[in-house]
Amino acid sequence: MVTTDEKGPLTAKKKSVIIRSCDGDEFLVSESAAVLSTSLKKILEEKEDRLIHLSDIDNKTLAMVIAYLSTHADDGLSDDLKRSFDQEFVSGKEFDVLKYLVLATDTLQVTCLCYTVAKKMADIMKNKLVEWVRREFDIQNDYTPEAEAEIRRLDAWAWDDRQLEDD
Amino acid sequence: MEEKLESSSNDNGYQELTPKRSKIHHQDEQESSPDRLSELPEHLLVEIISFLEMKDAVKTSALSKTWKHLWTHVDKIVYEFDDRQPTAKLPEFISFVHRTLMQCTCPNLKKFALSVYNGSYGHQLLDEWLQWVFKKNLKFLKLDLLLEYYCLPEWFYHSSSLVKLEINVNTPWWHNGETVSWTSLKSLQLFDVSIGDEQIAILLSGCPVLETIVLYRHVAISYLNIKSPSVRSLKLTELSDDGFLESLEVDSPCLKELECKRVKIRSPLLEYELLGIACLLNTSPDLDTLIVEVVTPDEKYFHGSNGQILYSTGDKHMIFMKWNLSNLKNVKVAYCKNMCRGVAIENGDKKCSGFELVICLLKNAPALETLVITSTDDDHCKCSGDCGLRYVSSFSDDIIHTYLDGNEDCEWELRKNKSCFEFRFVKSCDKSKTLCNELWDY
Repeated sequence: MVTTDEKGPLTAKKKSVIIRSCDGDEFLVSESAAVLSTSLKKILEEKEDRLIHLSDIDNKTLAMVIAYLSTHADDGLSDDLKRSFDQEFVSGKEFDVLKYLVLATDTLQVTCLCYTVAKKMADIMKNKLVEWVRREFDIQNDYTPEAEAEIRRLDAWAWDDRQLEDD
Repeated sequence: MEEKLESSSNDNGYQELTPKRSKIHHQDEQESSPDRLSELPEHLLVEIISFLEMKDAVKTSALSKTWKHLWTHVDKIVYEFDDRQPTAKLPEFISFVHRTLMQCTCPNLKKFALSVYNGSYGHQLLDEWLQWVFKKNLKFLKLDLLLEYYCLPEWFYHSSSLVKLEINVNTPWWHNGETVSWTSLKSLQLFDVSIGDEQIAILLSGCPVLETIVLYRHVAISYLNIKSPSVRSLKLTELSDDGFLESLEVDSPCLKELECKRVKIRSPLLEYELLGIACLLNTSPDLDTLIVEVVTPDEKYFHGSNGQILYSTGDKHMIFMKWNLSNLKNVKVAYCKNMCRGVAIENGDKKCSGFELVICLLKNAPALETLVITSTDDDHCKCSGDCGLRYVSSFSDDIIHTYLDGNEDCEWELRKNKSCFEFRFVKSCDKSKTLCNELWDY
């Protein structure tokens, strides 16, 4: 007698989970990829649910994170290949896209990707003017001009060293 | 890869996962903001600015009041005074380091790096800084400094949190008799640090889980004995400024990688160092990368990269290298003058990756007298037809066309020998016949 475990499609279904983004798109992800996210792993350990709704992650960002998880869950790929995938993964992405990504990886607790994205964001921020950073992070400057000047005066060495380039 | 499904209407039983937004300072949450992602939680902002050099991290305090103190929570602290900055600015830099470092509040520091590439730095404050970061469970310490007459304090040698240590202080930094206890240290890199035989022995004995050792320049050791069972990678470059490395003994069963570059040895490839390597090969079954590049007193280079190096005890000037090409990834053979006389190549790989190695050898080893290539690929040997012969034949044809054409004093032959095929290249030389026989014994 053939058990259900030996039926290919059933097995595949059993080992997958469905993840739904905040805008309603659903993604079928292998369990081995999903558990690379500490948050998803906890959910899967607690309940048998195969359907996980992420109320804070949009479909584009989720698709990127899942691509990352699937690549890292692929035993057929060498560590070198995975490393170069990580490099490619963050290169050329808009700052805004990275912002959504870093938030999603934090929510899902994908620590390695979170670090990689945060590092990339820091690389972009480096040598950018204060005004650029304020714009990208949507920061309201609530300092008085005098207070800001005082802050710059305090660490004059840091402000003084080289000409910054604006975006 | 993922597959996109049709949207399901069933909302029951969904697991809700919402982001945790930890606040370091209590702020009014701007939940009313239409773009809910425009503001990243503060712990993520801190994560991002942790990757900035301190100079840039501190500058974020000018963004807004919310950002004013964010930088003080960073867990990676990097200070750099690079060579584009005038030495006159150094005192300003030092007071910047002191003022900002003392404001950092992260209880578990991942990294502290201090680099001063321009100008000698008064180290009065260094002890204080190091002590401060050591109290914060520091994991990775990197120092690039010019320090004159500086001694690292006793407590520096005792840390249970330190995992990685990179030191380039261009000074004798060690005192005899001090004990070392770096119980978590996995990676140790010393650049331009004067350290002697006894001192390095003490140091290694205090690092029970050490995996990577990198010693680079001015490390004045003549005898290196590495017995740590955890060591996986050992890299030695330009050792011993005025002395020579006399002995290298490695007894680490986990060793995966050994690299010796421009290591000075006493005389043209004496038995010491090669015995060290031979010994190493015997005790390190997992070794998959071996790069050896040594400088002898008469400045001749020997550089091989491989799976196995064999040494002939019969004649000290003869080096036999035996490559097993199936694991070989990168080949560099340069200037084997007078030293590399016999080479045996075993090719177990049908893809014939040895061709470049052979060409490289022929071009760079003018003293080469014997070159034997054998194909031990089972398929070739079992094959009843001539496929194995054709394989070695096409391989050798390429070599002959590229190098041997018109080279009158060379002989080559191709024949089948027991369980393998061989291509034999012999320069006119009396010794070559005996060399060949020796090679076959391996």
